[in-house]
Amino acid sequence: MNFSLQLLSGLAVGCIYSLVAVGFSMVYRAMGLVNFAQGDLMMIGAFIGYSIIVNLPGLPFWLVVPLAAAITACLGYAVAQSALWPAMQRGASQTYLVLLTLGIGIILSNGARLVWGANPLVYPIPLTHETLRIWDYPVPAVYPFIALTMVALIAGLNVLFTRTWIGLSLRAAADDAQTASVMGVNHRLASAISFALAAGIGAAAGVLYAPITFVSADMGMIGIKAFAAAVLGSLGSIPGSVIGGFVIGIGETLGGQLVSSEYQDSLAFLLMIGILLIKPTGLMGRKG
Amino acid sequence: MSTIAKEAHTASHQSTSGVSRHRRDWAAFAVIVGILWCLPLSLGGFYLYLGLAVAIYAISALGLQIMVGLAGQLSLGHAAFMGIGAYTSVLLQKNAGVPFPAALAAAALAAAAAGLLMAQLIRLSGVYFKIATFGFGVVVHQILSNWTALTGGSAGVRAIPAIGVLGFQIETRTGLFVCEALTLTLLYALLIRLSHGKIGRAFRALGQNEAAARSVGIAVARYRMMVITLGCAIAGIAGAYLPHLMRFLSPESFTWYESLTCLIMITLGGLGSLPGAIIGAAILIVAPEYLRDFAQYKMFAFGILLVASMILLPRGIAGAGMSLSRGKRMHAQ
Amino acid sequence: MILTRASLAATVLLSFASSAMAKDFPVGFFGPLSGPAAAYGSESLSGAQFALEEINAGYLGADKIKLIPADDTASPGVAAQAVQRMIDVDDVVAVVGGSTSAGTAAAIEVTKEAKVPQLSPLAVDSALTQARNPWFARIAQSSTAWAERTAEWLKNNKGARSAYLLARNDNFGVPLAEAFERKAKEIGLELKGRIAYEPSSREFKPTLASVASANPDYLVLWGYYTEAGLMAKQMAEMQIKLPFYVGSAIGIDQFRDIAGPAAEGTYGLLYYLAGSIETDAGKHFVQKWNERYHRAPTQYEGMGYDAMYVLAGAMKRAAASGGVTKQKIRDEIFSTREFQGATGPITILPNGDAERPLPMAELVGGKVKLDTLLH
Repeated sequence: MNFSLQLLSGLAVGCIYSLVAVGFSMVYRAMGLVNFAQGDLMMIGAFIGYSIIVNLPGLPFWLVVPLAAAITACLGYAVAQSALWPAMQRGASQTYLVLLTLGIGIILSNGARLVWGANPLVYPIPLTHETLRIWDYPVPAVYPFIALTMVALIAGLNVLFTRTWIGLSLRAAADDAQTASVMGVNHRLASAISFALAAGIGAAAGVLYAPITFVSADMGMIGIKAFAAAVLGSLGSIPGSVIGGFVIGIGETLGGQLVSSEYQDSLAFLLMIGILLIKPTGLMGRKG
Repeated sequence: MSTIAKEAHTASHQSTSGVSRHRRDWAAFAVIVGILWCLPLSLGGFYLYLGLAVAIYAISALGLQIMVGLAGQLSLGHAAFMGIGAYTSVLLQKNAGVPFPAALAAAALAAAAAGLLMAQLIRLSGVYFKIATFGFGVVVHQILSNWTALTGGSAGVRAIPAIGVLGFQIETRTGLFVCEALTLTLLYALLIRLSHGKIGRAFRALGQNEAAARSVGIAVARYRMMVITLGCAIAGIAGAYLPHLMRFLSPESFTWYESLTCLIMITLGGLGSLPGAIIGAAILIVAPEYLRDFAQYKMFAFGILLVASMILLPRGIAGAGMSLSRGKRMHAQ
Repeated sequence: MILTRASLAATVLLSFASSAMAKDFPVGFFGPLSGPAAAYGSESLSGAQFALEEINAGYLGADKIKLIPADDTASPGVAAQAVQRMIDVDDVVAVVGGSTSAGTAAAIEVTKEAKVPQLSPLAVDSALTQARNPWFARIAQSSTAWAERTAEWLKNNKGARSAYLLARNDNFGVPLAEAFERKAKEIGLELKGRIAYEPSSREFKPTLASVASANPDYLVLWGYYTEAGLMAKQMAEMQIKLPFYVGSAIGIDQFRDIAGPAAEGTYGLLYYLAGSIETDAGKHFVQKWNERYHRAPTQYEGMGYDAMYVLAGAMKRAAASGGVTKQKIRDEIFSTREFQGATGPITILPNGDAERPLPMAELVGGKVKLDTLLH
């Protein structure tokens, strides 16, 4: 009983890590950029979700998720166009770009603190505290939403990347920007759309995570663990990010009992460093 | 294609202007060291305290600058090495009665050893290394907080002994400042020498383009290892002074937030510029004191400052100052 | 009303006596005013400022106190620097402050060195007074007192035979947990386990599963309100029904928001509970606060208010017996006996700790209800 409950909550948290990790991977593939603001975009998404719930009471939760995601995606698009693209075009170094995204993260998290306050906020909807019974197991009511969103988003991304014109252009630009631009793909637009999509997915993760815990300006720190997840599963690979998210989510909930809980934070990183030393390209990485 | 051309251009530019750059670096050294020695000591009081804090973070930022700015090895766990230095030095002085200079050396060695351990992770190339350095910082912070028998845990260490040098006890703020300023001056001078020598050129080549550096026969892995160890050792030296300033030592002084602050210092001052690291440290420590009423906007403002300076002044304040002065000189000619 | 008239009369009399020498005494205040711990600092500051309005209306005769607030962001380095500046630049005669344990621990080394009295409204870490620092006192009880009162209450008032201990792994949670464990052993309360968790933890289900399988009479938590809220919530999700002691979190709105319905029935020891103090000073404060803000004061507001008054009382006695010097203020702070504060009568002990009643409360129908006033 207890074991399956913990496995379930490990899976739920793993889903959140996975979604943020997918965002990392998409941006890395499209722009060759390690986006340290990804966690903070998730946090902003969660706060935007809060404002939507407070200002539009009665709006069903399954509409709050895409709405918050869309708004955050617009914010992400603006960030990519105004701050990131000029630097990339100048051929700025990887170090410079990482620092730039760190700076954007600081602005987002501290800006959120100024806008929404320093105290943690809780979504004022019944979903936050409800539990369902599935085969006699008590399950927090938000878990089915997490599972459904996860499946829908992964399926959606798969269709987007393989079946649509936008996706094919994004992939082309990600794989070889110069050839793609010869073929008429606008790398700037493709980059900004990738970044916006990643921001939207991160925001969805934030809105889904909020009912499990609460929303606060420092919740972007989850992004760092999600980053470890993305790296673990091989950065740039979307299936890898999903698997990496689950490994860290479940590893933390179950490993917390094996290893002393004082060192729970170290666990995710030691796991990541260990796996990378054995397999330097990550779990799903290709050789070479 | 274009990046290679640009690098070839900068390389040739460097070799022709090497001598003048050398002179410029020492001129900047003279100005900064002059201000360092005159301003806090003559103003005294709280300015001296601020001077002490600036000097510590300037030392730490210099270490980060050669790693990140010069050699392009981004570390997201720099504060952890300050922590290792601080604990090594204080525990040796307190528990074993080791005199400060020896404890300082031990702090540098311990931080260097930890840096060498982290440098082993360079086998994780590029992106992977960066996140591993963040993980390293988290692990060190957790060890400092939880190894209670050794470090006193999260309760911290109090009753920090006064610095003893050659049998003298240095109890005053002025005395501590002289020690710190001396350390900073020496390190800064050494790093200028180093940056113009063979090692410095290799570091710079590494920072510009690792593949290109490898193709001209630079032992990339060895130099990466060397610069990480060196940068961490310098952080250890800075850390050894911190408890003497605060008279208290706690793992909370070595968090991710502190690492981030050091990164903002070097970026704001100008990536790759040694005087920039010192200027950046001075701004980040002194400015909040004059904006105390806006304390809640502090980190927000730092973020804006970081992003704005990166977009508007890609070479930081020091870089902007340099090109300004060069422009003027050209005008005069 | 009577009080104000009396103090007005006193003002008039005293201002005649000393108007020529009226002084503004700078006093520093520090605490976290930004960041996640901002509630502790900003609420105790607003309590202190509320007290200051009354004090500056004649409590010290013609003399006034000028409060200089600073934000320590709960970081030891920032706290040390902020306090150093108050001493060096503003020349403060005393410092009120220290809300988080790490910030306070760094600051008391600065005040001690400079020989400036420091009075903390909220810091509880017992190590702070164990160092026998003659310049530091507080009106909050030490962690030892909190933990011992709780253990005794569980054993004697609730008839508990066993407890399970969870502690935030920092210098707030660990000293509390250690003191609780010692007392529990002494009075024969069985401890079925003790787990320290990382301050950044959000997922407590593995820990709670261990707790549930040990089946203690009570779960005792020494941590922050966010963690208390998440634990209550996750216990409800796992359908673990255990009486839960959450400490001062019970008085914080956000704890109830996070825990939701699971907050009902939790217990907690508060710094102060409005309405629990039946003295004149206690009633006066709640009434005045209600008139101004149309709500009851929080525990931190009450503590900030009393810290300011205990300091002002010491300054008043110092003025009466020679002069307001740092040394004299220190001596008078330490001679505080049965001071009639808003949060109850306060006595400062020779080591700088305080004696003061602590309200044990239970959450009933969404309201914090006094269970017992522990002495």
